[in-house]
Amino acid sequence: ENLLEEAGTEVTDEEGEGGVFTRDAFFASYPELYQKSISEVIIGTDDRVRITPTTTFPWRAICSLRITAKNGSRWIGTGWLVAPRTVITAGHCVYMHDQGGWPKSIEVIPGLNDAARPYGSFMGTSFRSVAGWVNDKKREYDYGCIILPSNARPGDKTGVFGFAVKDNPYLLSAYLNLAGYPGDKGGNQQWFMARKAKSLAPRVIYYEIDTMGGQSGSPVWVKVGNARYAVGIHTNGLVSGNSATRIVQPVFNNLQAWKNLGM
Amino acid sequence: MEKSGDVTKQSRKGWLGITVILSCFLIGYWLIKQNNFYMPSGTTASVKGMLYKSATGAPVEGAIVMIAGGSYEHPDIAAQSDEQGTFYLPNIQLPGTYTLLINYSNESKRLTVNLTKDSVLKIPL
Repeated sequence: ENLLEEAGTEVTDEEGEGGVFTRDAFFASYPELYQKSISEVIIGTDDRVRITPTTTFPWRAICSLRITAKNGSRWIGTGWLVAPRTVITAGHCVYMHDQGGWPKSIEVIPGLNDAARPYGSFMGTSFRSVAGWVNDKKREYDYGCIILPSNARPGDKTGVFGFAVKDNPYLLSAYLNLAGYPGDKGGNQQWFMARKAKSLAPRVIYYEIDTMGGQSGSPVWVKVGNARYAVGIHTNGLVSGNSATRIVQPVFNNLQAWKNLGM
Repeated sequence: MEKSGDVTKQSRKGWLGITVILSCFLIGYWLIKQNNFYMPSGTTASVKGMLYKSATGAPVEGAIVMIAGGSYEHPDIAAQSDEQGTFYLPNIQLPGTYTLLINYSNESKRLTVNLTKDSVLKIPL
């Protein structure tokens, strides 16, 4: 049952051209290959897939983040566009408790692909998060956003993600897609993987999708027809299961408010 | 001499108490399993490190440092060393054992470290 949905951008011309392969539809169309990929994970292969080129939707709406913290330290993360100027990411990318709090700046690079910056790059200095993260550092509230300056509107060209609140039965049966910029691939390449959820908590989604440092903030989304709806914001790694902050109603409400700020 | 009814009441109270205690235990156990609580001890903090070239001692700038595994879950953000070779690990549970993966100049290094809140890493590359 769909509880709350905010639509993103529909399929574009490029994606509609005959024969263009959309990776996040792959397992839904070929479930027998999903079963095969699970067995490969059991024997230890890296099941991530490189996304190149990154100039089709939704890949071009996923951004590499270059974070300069308040104390000058440097970090790499991932974000995704929900409005022309709004980039959703992990709370710990926009508020770093041990690095001085709000960062000095975050460079946002949509669809970064090695040296190529097909949509340019944009410097963000306006950030949002929630009290549960900023004040209490609670994992369940680890989400935030970057609001880009008024003259920086990459989402007009890239398209934007939708986002939705989905109930437990839906999330446990759906294929979850995750793509971002892992540091073990240099931080300049977008890598993707899809899996079903491993388990759920009221505000957390757990999965065995391979991730690495640099992918904090990556979208965790479901594909519904030609639309993409984020259901989580990837935040944490752990051998027994990586995890995302789950989009539940309060999170949805904040994402919607931040989206409106970036229109 | 006790009336048989009194004994019955006391038995019921005893069973009621046991039922309440057992229920509390089961509810608490269910809540913990549902929320995947790890209940670690210690604190969370960031750890500072420095990368240098083993041959010359010169700092290594631009290397990417990630946590590839460890005792506890960790933020999936990557650090990048600055011109002094300095980097910080994200807020992690300490003390703990973590595996770091460092990418630099088309090479990589993996090492496992035992960290406390007072640790300062100095890593040759």
